[in-house]
Amino acid sequence: MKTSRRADPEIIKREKKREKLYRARVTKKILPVCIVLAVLLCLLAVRIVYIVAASKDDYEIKILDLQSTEDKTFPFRRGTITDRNNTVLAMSERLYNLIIEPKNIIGNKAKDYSEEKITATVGALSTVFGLDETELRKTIAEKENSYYVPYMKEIKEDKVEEFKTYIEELNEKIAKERRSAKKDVFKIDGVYFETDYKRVYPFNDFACTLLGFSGKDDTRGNWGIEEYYNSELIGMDGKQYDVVNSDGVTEKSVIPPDDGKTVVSTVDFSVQKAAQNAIDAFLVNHKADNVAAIVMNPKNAEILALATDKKFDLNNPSDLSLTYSEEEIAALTTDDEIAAARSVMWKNFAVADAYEPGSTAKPFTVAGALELNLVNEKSEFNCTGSKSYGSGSTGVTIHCNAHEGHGTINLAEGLMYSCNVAMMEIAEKIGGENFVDLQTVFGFGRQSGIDLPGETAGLVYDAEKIGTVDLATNSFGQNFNVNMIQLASAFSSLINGGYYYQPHVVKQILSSDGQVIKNIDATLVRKTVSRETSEFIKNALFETVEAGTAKTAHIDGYSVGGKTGTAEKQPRADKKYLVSFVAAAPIEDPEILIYVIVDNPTVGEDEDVSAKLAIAIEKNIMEAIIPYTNIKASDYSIINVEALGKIFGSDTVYSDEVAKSNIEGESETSANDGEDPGNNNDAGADDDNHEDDDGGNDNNNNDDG
Amino acid sequence: MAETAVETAERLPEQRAEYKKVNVRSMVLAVILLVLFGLVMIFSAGNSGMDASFKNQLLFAVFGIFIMFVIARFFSYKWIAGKGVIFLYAAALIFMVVVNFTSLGVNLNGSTRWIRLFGFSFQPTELVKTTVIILTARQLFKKKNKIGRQERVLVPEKGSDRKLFRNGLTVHKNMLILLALVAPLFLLVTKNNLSSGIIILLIVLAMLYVGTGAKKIYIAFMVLAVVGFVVIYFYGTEIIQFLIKIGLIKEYQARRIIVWMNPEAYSSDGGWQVLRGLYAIGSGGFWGKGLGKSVVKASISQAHSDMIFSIICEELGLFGAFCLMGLYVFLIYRLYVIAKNARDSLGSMLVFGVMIHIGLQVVMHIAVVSGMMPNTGVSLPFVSHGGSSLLFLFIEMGIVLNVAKTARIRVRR
Repeated sequence: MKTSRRADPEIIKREKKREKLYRARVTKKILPVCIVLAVLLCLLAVRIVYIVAASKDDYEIKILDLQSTEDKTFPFRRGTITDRNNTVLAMSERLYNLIIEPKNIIGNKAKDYSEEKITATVGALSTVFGLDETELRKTIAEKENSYYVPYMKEIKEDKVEEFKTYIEELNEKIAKERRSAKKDVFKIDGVYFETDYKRVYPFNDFACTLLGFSGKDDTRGNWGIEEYYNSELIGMDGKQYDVVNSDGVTEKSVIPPDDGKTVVSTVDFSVQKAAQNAIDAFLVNHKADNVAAIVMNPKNAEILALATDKKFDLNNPSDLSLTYSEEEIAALTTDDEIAAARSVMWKNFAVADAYEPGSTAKPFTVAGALELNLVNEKSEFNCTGSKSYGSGSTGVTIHCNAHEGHGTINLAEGLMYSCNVAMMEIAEKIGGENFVDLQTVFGFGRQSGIDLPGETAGLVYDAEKIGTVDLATNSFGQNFNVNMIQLASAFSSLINGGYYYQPHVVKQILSSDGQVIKNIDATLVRKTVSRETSEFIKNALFETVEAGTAKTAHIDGYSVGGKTGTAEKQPRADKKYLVSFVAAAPIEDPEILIYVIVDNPTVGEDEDVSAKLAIAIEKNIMEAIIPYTNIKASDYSIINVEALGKIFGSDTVYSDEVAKSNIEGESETSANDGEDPGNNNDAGADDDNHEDDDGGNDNNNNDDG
Repeated sequence: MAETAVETAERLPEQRAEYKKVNVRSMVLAVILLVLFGLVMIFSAGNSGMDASFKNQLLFAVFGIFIMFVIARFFSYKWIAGKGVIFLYAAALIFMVVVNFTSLGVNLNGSTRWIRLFGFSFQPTELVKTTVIILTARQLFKKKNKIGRQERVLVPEKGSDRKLFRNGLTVHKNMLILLALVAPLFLLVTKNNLSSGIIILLIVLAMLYVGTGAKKIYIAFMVLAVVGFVVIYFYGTEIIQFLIKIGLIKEYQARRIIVWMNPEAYSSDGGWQVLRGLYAIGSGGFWGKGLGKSVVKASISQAHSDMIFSIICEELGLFGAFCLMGLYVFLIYRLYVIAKNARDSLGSMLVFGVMIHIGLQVVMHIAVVSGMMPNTGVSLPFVSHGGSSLLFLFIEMGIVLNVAKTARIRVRR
């Protein structure tokens, strides 16, 4: 523009005129181009309408047709599940499906060798895979225009290789013969193999309830880790399709499958094996509704083993024979009954069922009172064998496990001898509202959030609704429900210095080629108790094993601490028990926590139903796993010498904890004032209808109101 | 500046005329609607919701809109067509050489059309399209200084332009320069990607048609194209068989044309993708199957780029397809208004170039998916997945907005 300004006005004028003329023509010519574009778009619109109108139904059918024949998908490989030391617990084995393409096998019918080719192909298939020749021929003839006929499934890799070599040699032979005969050479084609995967559990029933199993198509997991971590375990199918490139040439484009991730569980193969063996050993001479054992690392709430008495072969999960006897199976007549039996077998008792924990809950009562400064190590309690609430016809008398009473005992002894009266007195000091708060701190009454499906929240009283008798019975672990994971996790926090970690069964997610994608480390949920309280509880637990109710749990050269539990089941009149034992070692700095429950055991005549049954299982596990774990030999010694003297003086009285009939008189209570501590029938009855756990809660609380 | 002088000079003779600015808001809105349409379709065409394709497209859309406004605000189209195009041309040439002849070219979906740049795949052919539009407009407009006398290329000096093609010797020097500049780019692009080559050729031809005076030759060219199309469409097979017979073309070369003409017969063999596109359109009906309900998309490779229109037809039916086509018609109309009222013929030609670029790609894309053209892989502007395409379309729109800033519509009272 600068030049134009300097130029003489005449030129500018001419310039302008020219530009104007030019513009006029340019704009005049733009319009026709626009019109051409518009006309073309209209024509295309008409074409599209024509396509839709002329062929809607026709094309819809064709789409469906095409899908089955033209697409090739490559299935993803479902992720592997390993134990913490990379022992494979579940994997998908590569298998092959035999696909025949009749159209290719027949080839060009006009050629003289078409028949020969069919014969050779069919011959090869029958030689290697033992397929029936006439059947094959029939299929080929029937589906002569198809490119996709799945013919045989689950072929192993070596068989496929064998077939390929066989075909190669056959092709060479044919080529040689036909060349010498001066005929057209042909090659055998029209047979290929599709990759498929089959879920394999190398150890069959090992950790079955913990692992769960995957469905037929590998996209769904049922129960256990297979279900909870399904989204990590699945991948994405690969695809092959035709792509027309810019030169119009069709190319096969392959998107490889995206394999599922590897899930590394916290389970230790040897520990799990020990736990299962211990349960099996117990079941040789006993029967029980449920037996379950958890081995946990209290320092990070990793679950090293989770075993139950319910067993099934993960490779054939519908088979009932490992859990039920032949008579029991024969008694199942309807499909519903069989389905119910299966779901009982597949369900993980330790996660899905809640029960009254019994005396293993006592350390929580004591720890809570210590935290609230309501008692101290020197606090003393006078146990006369029972404690009464109210008076007259509305009175309730709750007995101690030792009917004759424990006499004057201190706080630690209260745990050692599992004294109900001491617990009730402590609970009275704590008060209902605080007690419920403490249960919340320890994680009772809500899901622990363990990475397994179907966890029950358990059941505890509401702060407003807990009555005096409820509080009294709660203090020694009756009348509220927990699941095993909740109790084990909370117990871990009692003995590890007060740190409640998120319990978990998976510690790592790896990519399909082994790269670490995610580490699941110890996650601190909350602080439950102080270090001092933790130390006190640990000492008391040690003393319980050395001189209290759990003496049979003692292992020479190792420091074991533990707490027994014998819970009376609902309905109380049936005198059914759930015995349990929770133990930790080495108690000065626990590396391992083992929690065992035996639900409604049936014993021989020379035996009592007592926590000893659970202790035996625990000890069996502990002794077996000492070589594999950090449990070191220990010369930890008893601190409470006073208690020791007492024990030596009256060994027989305290040698076993017997909780039988410890809540006498409750039936009168319920009749009289409706405040029935044992009225949570459904909730407490973990043996009959677990699914109604939550519903039971409501009933219970309504009655209390 | 001289602008005010020019404005007054222009107004003076016509006292009663009034000028108003061109409203661009509706056009920008249309473009953004198209991009949103595309994002929704890519979201639905993707296998797993917010997949990488979607995020990539979203990123480029946001960045592209930003660039569009920056260019509209700060880069005068005169500067772009003057100095700016030199950089663009150099970059286009370098990138095309790099993608064609070095290992830096990235192979995606079976062809080497991309360069990896700062973590993004960049398709230099899109840069070439923009560059060629600017270059052609510039050469058509370029001033020539001759001893104080100014003359625009091919400005009609009473019929002189008519000589242009009648006598090859009078072809202007600027056109020779244009030819020399565009030819290497064209060849490099065509070697790399035939469809982009065709688009570039058609853009240049259309711009020359509008910008020069040669009318008859274009009419002849168009008649020939239409006749050729019709003949090939109806007698293609016979012609090809004849050509193969006399050995002029080989069988594989003929195949793409045969496949296009008769996709159902060659469904296993390349017609497959085209055929699925047709099935998709056919099965959509008037209202479509609903977003994300396409059956076909999983089975064709370019569901969200070269075949996206067929998926739109399948999921949103004729209704959705016509809405989309309506948006394009509106966009082209607004571009026409700007081109018509641009302040000078450079602006006019630039906007026209962008218009023909968008219009051609829309027509070719829909023609491919509806089986009216051999499958070449043309993306649907603003809608198809493809960051580079989107970015350069926004750059072109930025130039258009800049031209529109100075455009004035004459309003008679």
